[in-house]
Amino acid sequence: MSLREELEAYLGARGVQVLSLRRLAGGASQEVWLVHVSDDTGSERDMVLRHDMGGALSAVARTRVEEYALMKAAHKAGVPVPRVLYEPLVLEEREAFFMDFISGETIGRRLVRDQIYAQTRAVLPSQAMHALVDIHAIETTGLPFLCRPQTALDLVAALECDLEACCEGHPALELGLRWLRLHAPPLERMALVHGDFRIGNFVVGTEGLRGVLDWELAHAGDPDEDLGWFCVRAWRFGCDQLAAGGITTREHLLQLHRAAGGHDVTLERLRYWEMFGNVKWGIIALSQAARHLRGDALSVELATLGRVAAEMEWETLQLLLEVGE
Amino acid sequence: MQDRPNAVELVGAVKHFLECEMLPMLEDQRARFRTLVAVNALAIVQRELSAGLAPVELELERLHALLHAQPGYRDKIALSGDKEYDVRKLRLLLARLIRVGAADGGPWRKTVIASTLASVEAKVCISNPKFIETRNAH
Repeated sequence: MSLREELEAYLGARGVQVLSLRRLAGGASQEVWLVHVSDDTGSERDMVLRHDMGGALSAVARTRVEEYALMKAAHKAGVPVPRVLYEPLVLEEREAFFMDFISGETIGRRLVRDQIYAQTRAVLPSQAMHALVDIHAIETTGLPFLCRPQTALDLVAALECDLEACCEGHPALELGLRWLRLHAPPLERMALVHGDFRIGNFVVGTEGLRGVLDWELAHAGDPDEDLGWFCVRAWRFGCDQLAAGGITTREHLLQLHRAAGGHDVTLERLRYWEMFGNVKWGIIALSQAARHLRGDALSVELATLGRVAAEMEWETLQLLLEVGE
Repeated sequence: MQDRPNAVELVGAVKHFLECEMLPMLEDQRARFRTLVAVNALAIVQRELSAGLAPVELELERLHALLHAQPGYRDKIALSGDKEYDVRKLRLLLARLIRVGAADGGPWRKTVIASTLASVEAKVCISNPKFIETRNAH
């Protein structure tokens, strides 16, 4: 059976007819489909299908079944997130699930740079911090796959292994990893960490944040990791004067985080997790290229990520020079 | 020696085909995005072919200068004469030394950072020269 036939059978049994199916851009590790459907009453709507591509973003990446559970918990906790539908399913022997389609802008570059989002950018940092504080408050007891919370040192050790598996020497990333090892903060508080919280993973309307997407790097750990990741240079889309996602300053981000009910975070801790984010994104990029090089997933998109890693190496060295150690 | 078009020119022809003939025909957003990624990949190949071996030789010199007094250098120094292979080997040696703490402090650390930065900039000059330009403007 083709994917479409499998979908038609699954949804048909639930009183829903598939009218059209279109693959969406984005998603280097999974397929994302827009499914246009009608129900028994004849009313039409869009749903999104997230479908595993085989081969994960990293060894710790969540499965689709786990992602479904995370988004369900997030929705229950009042986080702006697409509502998951039905139950997780298996299509073409790979995990998948349906969720509501939320219309809006998902291209980070446009959100950070386009004039039509100038007013949006004034409210987005505060909305993002409210969403993040709510994410960090999600009850993790119902999510047993998260296992024990990971300390900074646990995460650094995992990155060292991931880099090792790429089989090439990367002195700049090693310098970053070494600094992260020597400066690892203790785990002072534990939370559900989204793991990929950045503008490029938001759905945004002119009025602001509508949904937080891509939960596949979620884990239990230090909530400050999400704040540092938000500040990684690669997610600023060229607006480097505003270090926090290209839409505000680091200092203001931390104020907004506090105003949203979050704990106090020092600039020093933010900087640690920003360094961590750069090194992590560099190693993910290399790992993704390795998937292409091994032949696990042939893709020009994955292949070129191997050349993007050098930009994260450059940034890692700049951050090391800035901290002066 | 091959007749023209040479390698850079042939890659340029494929790039032109994708950019000017294929792209305008594509409506599917995903196909458009991946075509742009492919065009960008060919631009990298053009720059890399044009630069030749010079960046590799410079990195090899930097690595030799950095590592000649370090433990392990003599074993690794059974070099092949294939400069790209040798750079790989010495990069790995440097990576291992950093990981075990050999560059945690002292004057060698400064040299390691400066040398590594030069090599990273050389990579980015090929992969994304605009990145370096805009960074230096800040």
